[in-house]
Amino acid sequence: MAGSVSRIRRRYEMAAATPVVVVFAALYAWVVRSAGPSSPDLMLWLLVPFAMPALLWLFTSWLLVHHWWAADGARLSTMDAPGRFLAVAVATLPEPRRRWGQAMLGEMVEVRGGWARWRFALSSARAAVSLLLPAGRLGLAVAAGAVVAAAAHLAVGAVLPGFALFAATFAALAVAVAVLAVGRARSGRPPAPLATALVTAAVAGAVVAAAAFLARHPAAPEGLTPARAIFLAVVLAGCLRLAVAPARRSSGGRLAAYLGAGAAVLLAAGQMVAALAGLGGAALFLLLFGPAFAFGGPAFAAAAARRSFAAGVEAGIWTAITVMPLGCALGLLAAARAYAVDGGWTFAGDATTAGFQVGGAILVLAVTAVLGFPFAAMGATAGALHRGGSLQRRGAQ
Amino acid sequence: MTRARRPSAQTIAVLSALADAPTTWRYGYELCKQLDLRPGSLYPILVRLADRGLLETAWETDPPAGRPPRHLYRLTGSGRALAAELAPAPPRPAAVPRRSEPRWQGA
Repeated sequence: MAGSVSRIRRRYEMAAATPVVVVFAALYAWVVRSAGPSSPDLMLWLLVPFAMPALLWLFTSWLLVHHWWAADGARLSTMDAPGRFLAVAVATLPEPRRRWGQAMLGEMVEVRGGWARWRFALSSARAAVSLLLPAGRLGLAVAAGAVVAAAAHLAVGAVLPGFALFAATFAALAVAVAVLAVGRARSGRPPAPLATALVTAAVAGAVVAAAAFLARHPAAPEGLTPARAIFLAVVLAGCLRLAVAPARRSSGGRLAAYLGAGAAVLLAAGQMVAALAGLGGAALFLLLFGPAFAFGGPAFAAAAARRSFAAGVEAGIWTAITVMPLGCALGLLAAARAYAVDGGWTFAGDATTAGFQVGGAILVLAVTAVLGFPFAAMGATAGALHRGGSLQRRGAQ
Repeated sequence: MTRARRPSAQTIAVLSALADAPTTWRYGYELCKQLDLRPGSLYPILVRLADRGLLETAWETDPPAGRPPRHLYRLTGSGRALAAELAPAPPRPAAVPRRSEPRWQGA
C-alpha cells in the first residue's frame, strides 16, 4: 500500500513538473529561433537564463505538490478516479458552498459500479460548477463584458488606435471580474481592504501610465503588439480578480496581504529610484535579486506567524499582484522621465525606441513574477518549519 | 419572499417528495433515486430551496462506521406551505418530471 501511495505521489510530482519543462523548453526554442541563425555558443549562452528559472520552478512545483499531498493529496490517493475527480471539483467551491460539495462526495460512497460512479461524479461536478458560477450571472458577465469591450474598442480606437485592443480586452475582463465578484461576495467587504485598494490603484495606474505613454510618444504603439496587449490585459485583470475576490480558504488573512503588498511597494519604489537616479547596476540588481527578498521575506514572515505554508504562499501572491501593475506603471513613468531628460531612448547605454520601452515594461512585469514566486514557495516552506515540526505536519495545516 | 416565476416541474417534484414525510430527514442520493433525478439537477434545486429558507439542512450525527455522515434535508414551515400551494389538485398525476422542462429561475 505504501509503495502504491508513493507511486501515486510520484505521478503527481511528474504531472506538476511536466508543464514547467514544456513551457520553459518552448520559450527557449522560441527565443533561439527569434535570435536568428543559431550556433552552439549562442544556444548555450541563451540556455543559462532559461535553466535557472526553470530549475527554480521545478523545485517550486515539487514543494507545492509536497504540501498539497500533506494537506489533501494523501486522502485523495485512497479514492478511485471518479471520486478524485469529484473531490477536485468540490475543492473549487467557495466556503459557503463547500458543505454541498461535501454532501455530494459523501453520497458517492453509496453509488456502485464504475460507470454509475462516473455518471454520478460528472453530474455532481456539473452541479458544483453551477454553484461556483451561477448560469445567470455567468451569462450577465459575458454579455456585459462583450458590450463594454465593443464600447471601449470604439471609444479608445478613435483617439488612440494602438491602445484599442488592450482597452477592449481589459475592459471586458474587468467588467466580468466585477460582475462575478459581486455574485460571490457575501460579506461585501474584502478581507484586506487596504491591500485590495492598493492593487486596484496600481492596476488603474498601469492602465493610465500605458495610455499616457502611447499618447505622448507616437512610435510607442509598435511595442504594444496584439499578443503583448492581450497578455498585459489578462495579467492586469487577473491581478484585479485576485485582489477583489481572494482565495476561498484564506490562511494568511490580512497579515499575508499587507506583508506581501508592502514588500511589493518597497521593491517597485526601489526600482523606480534606481531608474530615476540612473543607477543601472542597482536597477539590474533589483530586477534579478529584488524578487527573492520581496517574495521570500513576506512569505517567510506570514508562514511563520500563522504556522502555515498556505499563508506564506498567499503573501507571495499578494506581492505578485501588487508588484506587477505597480512595476509596469512606474517603469513607464521612469522611461518617460529619462526621455525628457536625455532626449532619447536608451537601454544599458544603447539607443532604443519608445516601442522597446513598452515591450520592456511588459517583460519586466512578467519576469518579476516568474523569478519571484519560487522564492515565495521557499520562504513559505522555511517559515512553516521555523518553529520546529516536520514539513509533513506543517503542510497538513 | 416573492416568487417571480412558477417553480420548475423538477423543483415541484422535490418539494412534493419532501412534503410527503415532512418531519423525516431525507438525503440526496435517496431523492435522486426516488425522483429519477441526477445530482447535477437535484443539488442546485436543494441549494436554491435552502437559500430561500424553504429547506432545513443538517449533518447526520451518528453515521455507521465506514460511511461518511449524510447531509440531510427537510422542509421548513415556509417550504411546507409552498409545497402545499404547488401541490397538484387530485387525482395526482404519477408522471415523473422531465429533465427538458424549463428551469425554475425565481423563488
